[in-house]
Amino acid sequence: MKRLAEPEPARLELLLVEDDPGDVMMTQEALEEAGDLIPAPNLHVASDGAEALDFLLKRGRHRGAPAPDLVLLDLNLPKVGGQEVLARVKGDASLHRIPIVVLTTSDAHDDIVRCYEHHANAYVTKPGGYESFASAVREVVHTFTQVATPPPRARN
Amino acid sequence: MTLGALAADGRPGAVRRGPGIHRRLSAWPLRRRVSVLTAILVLLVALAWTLAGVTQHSLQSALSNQSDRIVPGRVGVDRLQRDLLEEAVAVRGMVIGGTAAVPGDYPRAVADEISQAKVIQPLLAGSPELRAAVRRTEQLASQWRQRVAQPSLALAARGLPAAQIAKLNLASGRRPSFQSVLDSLDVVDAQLARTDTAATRQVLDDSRTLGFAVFLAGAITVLAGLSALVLLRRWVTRPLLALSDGIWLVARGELDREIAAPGPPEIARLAGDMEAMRRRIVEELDSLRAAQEEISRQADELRRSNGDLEQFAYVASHDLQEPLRKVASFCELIERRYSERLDERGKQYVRFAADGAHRMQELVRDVLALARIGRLDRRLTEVDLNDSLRQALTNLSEQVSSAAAIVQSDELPTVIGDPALAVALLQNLIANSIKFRSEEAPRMKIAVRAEDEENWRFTFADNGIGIDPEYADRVFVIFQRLHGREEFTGTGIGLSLSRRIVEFHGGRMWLDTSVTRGATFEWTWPMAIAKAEERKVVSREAIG
Repeated sequence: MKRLAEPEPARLELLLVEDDPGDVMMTQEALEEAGDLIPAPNLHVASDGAEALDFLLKRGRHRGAPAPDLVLLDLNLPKVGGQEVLARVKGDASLHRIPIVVLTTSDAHDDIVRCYEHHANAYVTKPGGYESFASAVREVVHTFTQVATPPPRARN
Repeated sequence: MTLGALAADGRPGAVRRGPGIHRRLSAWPLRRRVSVLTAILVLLVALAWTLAGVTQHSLQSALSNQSDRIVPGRVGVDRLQRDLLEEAVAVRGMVIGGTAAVPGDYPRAVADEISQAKVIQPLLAGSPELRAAVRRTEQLASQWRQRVAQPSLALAARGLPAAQIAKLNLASGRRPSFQSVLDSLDVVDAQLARTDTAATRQVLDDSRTLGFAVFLAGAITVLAGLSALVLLRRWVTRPLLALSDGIWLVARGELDREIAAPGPPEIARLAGDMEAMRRRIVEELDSLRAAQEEISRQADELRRSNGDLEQFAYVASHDLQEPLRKVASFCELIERRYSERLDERGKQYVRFAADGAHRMQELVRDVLALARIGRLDRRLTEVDLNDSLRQALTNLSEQVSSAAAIVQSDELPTVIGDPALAVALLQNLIANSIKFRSEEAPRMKIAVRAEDEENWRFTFADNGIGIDPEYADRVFVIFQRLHGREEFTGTGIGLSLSRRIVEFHGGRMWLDTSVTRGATFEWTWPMAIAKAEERKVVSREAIG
């Protein structure tokens, strides 16, 4: 109630759940190259499903982590799999509004169906080369954060 | 087997009491049993009726003896007595004279008497005793006539008074009296009466015997019929019913139930044959079942191994994609970010690496596509191939318009299949024709006709560079390329994919080598009608 003045636009908080350092790097590159399309985001990286859940639930070393505006989720993850992370987040009343885009190499019918059954917001198959990969990432982030109206941020 | 079965479930008591006889009898064939039974019954009935016949005959002769001889005999004797008395009356009348004398009465009476005696004689032919008695009476009568009647008549004719004649007659002594003649006749009569009584008794006896004989014959006939009924039931009906029950149980599905029928050898043999047939059927069924199990086990195995293979191809392709993507992507990044730091040779190395990775990606993608055709969870529906063709042309619109390709097609049928695969088939063929076109603008023609009652036959002809008949089969082999990579791009999977799609739907695909201009592919595809009819039948059954 103190801040009556126009608030400074908050930085975009992105959570990338990805165990492959190459893909993490490519995602970073893609966002860096985004230029005017997307304002430079805070990219948080969780390298397995358990860490992703810790981050989202602000547990352990992620105490005080921001609530992300968008989660990019790989399916093939160590410890806790991507499907389970998806199911847990979408089954949690405090988290289920956070948009989750599944970003994976799999184009298996079963994976697609199960992800949407767990209320994934989109399912994107990682394209083959860097250029197409980068543009896919940018388009997803742009669409979910700039084109679409995101859900209001949960209070910390 | 049948003897054992009989001893086991027949009547053990009977078997214990007289095993020898019983076994010998039960070994008799039905034909012999029936023959012997019939012979015995016929003999018994014949005996009874013969007895009745003989008795009847005896009764008949006794009756005729009485009516034809004895009764007329007695009447004859009565008449003889009357004639004799008339003779005596006539003699007395003449002797007394006056109105009593009737001349001519005596000779007539004598004639009557003699003729009557002659009538009697043959009636008594059966009894010499009686005939002798009659003859003696006749002799006495004749003596009386000679010695008493005729002398008296002669004296009366001379006019002698009756009293004197009587005196003369009495005085003559030893003259036979008329009374003795009558007495002799009485003896005959008494004898005849006795014979009559005996004959009556004979008739009574015979008729009683006849009644008994008829009753006996009837009883034997009835008993014979009953025993034939009982024995036939025991020998034929009961074993047949037991056999039929056994067969019925087997027919109802209790195939392990042994068929056995206690009874005569013929029925036992029938049961034995049936039992052999049952065992044969059970054996055949068992081996059939075993074969079926083996087949279904193999089918399961095959399904599993197909599934495994598909899974393997899928996983392998998928897992191969991941590192390839990395190689391709970072090659790209090196080119973008560090190209100014690389010399021309270094740039070329990176390009080769990227190119190799891209090609490998294509190959892996194609293997994946090929592996997916046979996916077991594909849902087959009715596919209008005209729609499939339209979709294929839409997917290829860029290539089609840039090559100015023209695709002509017959009205295509609706078939049963996977819609995506049907599009892929046509799309592969059209893309193939555009890729391997000659200098002319590519032209394609799709034709269809009935191959037989159950299959369509499609023909896809183009005006491209054609395929040497030598390679007619190689074009369908995965990753087989007939042309250098520089000449034509692509992995060479299009046609093997097409053939696999056709084969997945139960058809065949081949290259028509008789066509020299361009390439002509042909393939068959099962007609939808059969499936549709099948479905109709199934739904009718479901309703019924």
